[in-house]
Formats: sequence, structure tokens, C-alpha cells
Amino acid sequence: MNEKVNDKISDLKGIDLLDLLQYIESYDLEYRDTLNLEDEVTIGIEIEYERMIKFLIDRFIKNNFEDWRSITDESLQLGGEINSPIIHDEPYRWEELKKICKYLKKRRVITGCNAGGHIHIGSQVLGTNHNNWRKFAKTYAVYEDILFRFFYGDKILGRKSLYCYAPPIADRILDKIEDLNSAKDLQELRVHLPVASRYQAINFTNVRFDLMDEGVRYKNTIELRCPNSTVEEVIWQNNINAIAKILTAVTKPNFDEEYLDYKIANGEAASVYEYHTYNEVLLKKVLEFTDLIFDNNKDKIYFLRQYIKDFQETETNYLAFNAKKFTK
Amino acid sequence: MINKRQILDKLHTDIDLIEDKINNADNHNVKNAIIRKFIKTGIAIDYAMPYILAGFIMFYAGRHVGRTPFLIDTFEENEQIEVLDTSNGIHNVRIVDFDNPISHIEHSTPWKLNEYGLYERSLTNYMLYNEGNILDENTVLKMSKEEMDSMFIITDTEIITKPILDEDDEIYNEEVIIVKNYVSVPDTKIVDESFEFNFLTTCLYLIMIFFLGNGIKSFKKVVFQDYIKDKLETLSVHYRVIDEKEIRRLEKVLAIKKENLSLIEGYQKRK
Repeated sequence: MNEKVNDKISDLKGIDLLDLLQYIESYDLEYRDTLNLEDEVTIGIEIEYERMIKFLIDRFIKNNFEDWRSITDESLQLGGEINSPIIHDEPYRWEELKKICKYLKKRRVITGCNAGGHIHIGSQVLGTNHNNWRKFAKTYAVYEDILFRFFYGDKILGRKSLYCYAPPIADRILDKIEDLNSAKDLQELRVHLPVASRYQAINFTNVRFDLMDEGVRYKNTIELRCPNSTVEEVIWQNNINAIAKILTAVTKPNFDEEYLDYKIANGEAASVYEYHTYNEVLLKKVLEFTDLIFDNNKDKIYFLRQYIKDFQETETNYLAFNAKKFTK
Repeated sequence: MINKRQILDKLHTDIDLIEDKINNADNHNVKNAIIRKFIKTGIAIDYAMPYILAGFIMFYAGRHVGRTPFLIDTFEENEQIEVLDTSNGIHNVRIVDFDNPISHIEHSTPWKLNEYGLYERSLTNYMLYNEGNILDENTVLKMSKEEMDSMFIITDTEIITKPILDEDDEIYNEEVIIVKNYVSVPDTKIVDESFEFNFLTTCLYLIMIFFLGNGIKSFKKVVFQDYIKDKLETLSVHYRVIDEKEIRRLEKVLAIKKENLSLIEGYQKRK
């Protein structure tokens, strides 16, 4: 499979699809020097961990990384979180992330119990055009079930505290879909987004809607809170790549919003009332999603590999157990 | 790595398993109810294990030092033997029950009637062992009062009066010197622990179990990460009650898996 071209994979069926699945399932994800994100994409990450004395992490971060921070998080049991500075898609930043992950792996921290792997993306990616925000909200609402399973990362389920600190919001977006469609500008649209609480799968409370025109970048972010934390730098890269590519895809003029409207109208959007769909592999839907968002086969393969996870599923909502390893 | 055959097998197996659960819900429920009991017992034991372990450690530690909680302990104490020799030839050995008696010499005058018609005698106590005093007992018993006064330190003098004399007082019918030696015989006396002491020991034992249990629990959390409990909790989900709500959920999951399979098999519907 040529990773640089963009094949439409959602049309595949039968033996062709089986061939693709075998290819994907035999693919081990690799660390990348660059994710080929657009220059304007700024990223912030919060690596939460548990069962490790924070003091040791504090010392490691302070001695080795000038602008990363180790801070306390009361929601975690014997742990803390490591916060990145504002980073861009640059090799030396990924190298820093890799070193931190290597240290956490060596220390055998736990990330499957309560630890989240939050990702902040600068709001300037969506900018002042309210159409971009609406398309992003629709994309998220339709494919939240797909994204949840993907963001379980190297685990086969969400962490224990996922539904407490980062519950799904697709239903809340869909409840306001008509208002979102009729909004004339960003200020009108913002009131219909779920912006009241930061404790949800996507936190919009940091977004400076009022200062968007002025290009304020400091702490003006969309925070993705649903990903599980991980000590695999490849998973971090893959998560960041996925959310950044979704945000940039919805700004493209050829983005197919009508298809999203069709799915919403036909009741094919995600809903937490069908919570089993957040854990199961929805093959048809995920293939559509990758065709909608990604513009090259490599991104599609990376997304699908992390989403399908050898078709492993579990019914438990107690702990996020590790999936079979699929990274190099 | 998973090959094509394994992908298909996995989907077929999952579908068969769910169909079996839906079609044989009653059988599964009976089996699951029994397994769930075992799992719950296992989880309860895992919760209690640090405290059980702390209880054993504290119990055996207490027993090692002779302080068993809940039970009234018995102790062996030293017994005091009094060896009494008098100048008029009486030799007597008896057990005494007062603590830390000091060996000494007594000199007593004979009984005489005083002006009130009571029997009266004068008793002088001497320190038996003092520096330079290396006389043997027989020599002491033959001494006069004056010799004793000059040789030994007087520790006490008293006048003893009694209205009637009994058998034990006959020894003082004449002037007498008495040497009282006390010997301690180790671990010969068995005594029971007091209730108050046992109560305090038991309270302390329970407090120690609480703290030690919490310590073991924390240690277990950091080192073993609730491994057993987590495994059992996870396992229990597979044995939940298959009621109508669960059947509806299983049917939805089954529909998803069948759709995945039909997509892979090229819309060849499974029978």
C-alpha cells in the first residue's frame, strides 16, 4: 500500500477489505520525526501518571527539560502530571516527549486507572470563521464513538475516571444542531457549543471567543480530555496527529459537511445512549471517517491500527487494560 | 500480528458467543450466579487480606512477648522463700507473698507483762549484710545483744504488744535472735493477667492492626497495583446477569459484529 497517496478505503469490501485489515493489523506504528502538521498548529500536552512518587519526576523534569513542568493533580492516586510548553511539530520536541516517555516507562508508572492524556490545540487552527467551528462540532458529534475507541490509545477501554472527568458530549452538540446551523457568526455560535464545563470530552472553556479576532494565542486552546494517558510516545504522536488533522480538515473548502448532515438526519451520529458503540469496532463508520479526515494512506493506517487494536474488546468499565502491543 | 483467517475466526467466535448468551440466557445465569459468588468472595478476601495479614503478624508478635490479645494470659513470677533460723534452734522454711523482702536479723526480748496487763516485747532489726560483715549464721545466733549492736547496723526498733499470745508467739518466750534469709526462686509462681491489662492489650492490638493493615495495603497498591482485585473485577463483568436489558445490549453488539463480518465477507449473509 502506497502510504503517500490517498486511496478511498471506505468502498472496500470482501477480500479487498480483508487484505487491508491484514495489512493494518500487521503494521507496527513507529515514532516519527514529524507529523507533517501545518505550521499554525500549536500543541500542549498533559501526561498524567499514577503510582509514582512525584518528587522523582519533578527532579527529572527540572534537570533535563527547561520548559516542561511537573505539577500536582489531586484526581490521581500517588502521581501527578507533566505539562509541555506550547510546542510545534518539530523533531526536537518529539525527541523531548520520547525521553519523558522512556523515563516514565522505566519507572513503570500506571496510566490505565485514572490518568488522562489531555491534548491542547491552539484555537487559531479553527480561527474566526464560525463555519469551521460548526463543522468541527458536527464531525466530533457524528464520530465521537469512533474517536473514543481510538483515544483509548494502547488500552482497550477508557480509564476508570473517563466518564467522570471527560464524559461524551455528542448528544449535547446534537441537541443544539439546529441552533449551530443557524448561527451567523462565531459569537452567536459559541453560545450553542457545550462551553459551560471543562470536565467533558472536549473542553471549550479555554477558547477566547471574544479575543479570537485579535489573534490571542496564550491559553487559547481547545482541550481534548478523553484520551487515556500513555507512556508510548508513538501513541501520543498518533493522538495529536488525529485531532490536529481533524481540526485542519474541517477548515478545507472541500470538506464534506453535507455527508455529516446526512448522517445526523439518519440517526447515525454517536450517542452515549448507545454506549456499546464507544467500545466496539464500527468498521464501516471508521473507514468513512478516515476517508473524510485524512489525505494520505499513512495517516489512515496509523488511525485504523490504533482504532482496531486486533479487534480486542472488553465489556468491563473498571480498568483500561493494555491492548496487544502495536507499536515498535 | 493477526492474519486473515484469525480476523474471520475472531469475528465468528464473538458472534457465536453472543448468540449463545442470548439463546441460553437461563443456563448462563445459573452458571454466572455461582461464579459471581466466588468472584465476590475473592474480591472481599483481597480487600481484607492486608488486615488479615496484619492481624496474624500482630497476634504472633504479641504471643512472642506473652501478650496475646482477647485471651487472659498467665505469667510465671519469681517466688520468695523465707529461711528462718533462731538462736533457740528453730529452723523453718516457708513461702512468703510480699514483694522484694530483705534478708535481716532480728533480736527480740522475751515476752513480759506491762503495767496495762498486756504482753510486751522489744524487737530490734539489723541489716544482715553490710560491708565487712562476713560472719556465718551460727556465729550470729550465738551473739549477745551488745555484740550485735556493735557489729550490725540497726534498721528499726519497735515495741510489740499483744493481749493474748498464740502458738506462733511461743518462740519469743525467751530472748531470741532470728536470722531471716529470703531466697528468690525464678518462674515458679503462675499468675493471671488482669482484665484491665488484657483490655488495653486488645485495644492496642486492634489499633496496630489498623495502622499496619493500611501500611500493607498501601505497599500492595504501589508494588502489586491491586492486581488480583482488578483481575476479578474485570472477570466479573463477563458473568453478569443476562436480563432483558442485557439481552438488548447483546443484540446491538451482535448487530455490529454481524455488520463487520458481512462487510469483510462481501455481504455474504451468515445463516
